[in-house]
Amino acid sequence: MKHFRLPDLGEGLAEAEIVEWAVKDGQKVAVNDVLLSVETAKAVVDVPSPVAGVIKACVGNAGDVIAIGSVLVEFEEGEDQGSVVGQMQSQQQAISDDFIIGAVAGSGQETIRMTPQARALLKRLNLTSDALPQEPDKMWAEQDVIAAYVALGEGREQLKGSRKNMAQWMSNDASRAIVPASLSDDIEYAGTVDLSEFTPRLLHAMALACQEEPALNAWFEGESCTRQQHKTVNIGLAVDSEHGLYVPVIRDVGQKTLTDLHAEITEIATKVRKRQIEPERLEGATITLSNFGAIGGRYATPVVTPPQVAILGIGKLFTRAGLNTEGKLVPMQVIPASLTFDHRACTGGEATRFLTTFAKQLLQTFA
Amino acid sequence: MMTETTLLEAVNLALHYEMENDPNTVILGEDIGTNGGVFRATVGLREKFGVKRVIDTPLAEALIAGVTVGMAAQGLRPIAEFQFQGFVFPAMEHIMCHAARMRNRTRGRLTCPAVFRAPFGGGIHAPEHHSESVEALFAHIPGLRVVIPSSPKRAYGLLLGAIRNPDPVLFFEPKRIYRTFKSTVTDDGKALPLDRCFTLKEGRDITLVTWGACVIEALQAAQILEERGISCEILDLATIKPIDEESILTSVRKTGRLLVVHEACQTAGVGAEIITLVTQQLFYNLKSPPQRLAGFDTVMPYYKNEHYYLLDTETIVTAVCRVMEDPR
Repeated sequence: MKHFRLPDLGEGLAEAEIVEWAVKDGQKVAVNDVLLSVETAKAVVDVPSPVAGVIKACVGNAGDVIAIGSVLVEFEEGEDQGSVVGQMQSQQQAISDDFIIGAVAGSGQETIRMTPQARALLKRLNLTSDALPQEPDKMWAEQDVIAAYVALGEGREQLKGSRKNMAQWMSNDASRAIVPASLSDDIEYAGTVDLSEFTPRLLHAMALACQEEPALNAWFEGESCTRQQHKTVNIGLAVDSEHGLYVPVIRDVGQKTLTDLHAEITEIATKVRKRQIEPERLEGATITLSNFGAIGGRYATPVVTPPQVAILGIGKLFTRAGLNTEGKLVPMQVIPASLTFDHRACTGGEATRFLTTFAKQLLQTFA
Repeated sequence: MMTETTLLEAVNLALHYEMENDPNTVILGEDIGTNGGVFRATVGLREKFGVKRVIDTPLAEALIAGVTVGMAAQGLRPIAEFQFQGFVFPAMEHIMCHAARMRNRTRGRLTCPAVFRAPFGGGIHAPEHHSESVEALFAHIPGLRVVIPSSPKRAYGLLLGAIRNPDPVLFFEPKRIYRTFKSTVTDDGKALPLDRCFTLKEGRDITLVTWGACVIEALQAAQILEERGISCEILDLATIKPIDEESILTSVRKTGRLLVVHEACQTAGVGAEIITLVTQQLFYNLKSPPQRLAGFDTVMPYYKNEHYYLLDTETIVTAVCRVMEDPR
């Protein structure tokens, strides 16, 4: 702005008298700084500067009467900023203004192509893509990452078959939700235990214990909080083999004789060794028996397999001195028994009574 | 001739050059003739080329656009100015329904070689309607090109390219940086292409695509990030429509990460378009989800409250760091 003219002061007034100047020639002013005061017929009014600038000349003296629109102040011709509303910044800093048209030429570089799942797996395995073999154009999926991970470890292999099944089953959500509680007992027999048909005796005693405490012969589902009790006792028998752990199911144990059971167990053992066990044979157990004592060890905290709620582990038979019913010191044969149950579905009382019944029924088979 | 020019002066330089060399160019708009434009973009043109080629229009944007379309269809090269992008709305019908369709409607017999210039964006503490960023509205319309310069050199070259283009071009000038810096512009009449973006900084770790005044803060952010060990590649989109897909994809293929920065509000902004094309084509190359940093979905706040809305350097630095940390 070069000339600032007396603005319309409103109320139909056409002129005003200069009262006093607040600025002088050569002074630098900011927006809204008071330039002068004027008196109209009604009042004395301060006139603010509409711009920032340097005053070249103040036009008029105190006492002069001036009309609306007359020049009051002449500003130094500063830089022509235009006549726009608002405040323009005008530093005019020098810059280099270099640029390439389009993308940087000849890079041809490409990041590794991976599915998001593969990337996430890579990170969980604590690897970066630098550790992977350079294969341009390859699209990495999760299995590729696993294969690369295996290759990176001496002696590392990806599990297959029943070993893989065991690893995944033991750590799935249902398994993690179980609340295990363990109970053990020494089943003492003042005599010599007939080790022939030992496992059939265990199965038989278990079936009778299940009849006494059916709570341990049930399936439990945590999310729906439902329980399914079974009329028959189908015992999963843990069988160790060089290929891994198998748990074939012996159905309706309560209706089978010791001889039946012995024959079935023999059949199962052969089939497992030859890897010919039928998949249906591995399903539907209502409770599990692990006779780990056949190999060694006494007490254990065996792991419950959902949806079952109990597993009985029998350790290795041993002899120790004990008192018989007459109070005489005699050699006692001891069968260590460990029971793990899911405390969401069974009470301690049910578990204890189950184990006690099992012990009583087992001893009766020796009688 | 080489001079140190601001972005605003570069616009003026380009207009002078083209008016001189193409007698069919005509300029029209409010206050552009006698006043030389409220930002002084058209200063000196009336004196040099006269009232018939430098036309002061009435305060009527629909008239400006309608007359422009008529002139363009009949062989002139009109360069219309809307004093602020916020004032373009009365002119929308002429732009969307006629300028954009002239070629299609006449099966190529007629085209509409018009340029619609307007200052856009916030940052000058102005009242309502003076701070718009609505480039996305125009980018959505088939038949229109949208160009946004971010430096004096690019303003000069892109405006010449726009004027010489046989189809309508919306040329939005980021007013906040009209006079904030200058660079050496050669007044040689060389146009820049209207289908390429510009790489302003080469980098390794992340691609930043931005345009307009945000380019300045993006470059400042890149400097800060470089000190923190993050190497940004900065692309000035420049031509909002059509997008230079090839260059953007080349860059993201290299870096695996993308951040789009724009002042315009987020919803249905041009950032969404860029992120979609990168996600569709380079999904498996991406190290993390592409992100956008954009204005809030509100009207630009007035006066000094603008600084709550405008994206500053620190905000861009934070956004880049977040992308670099993803996935945790």
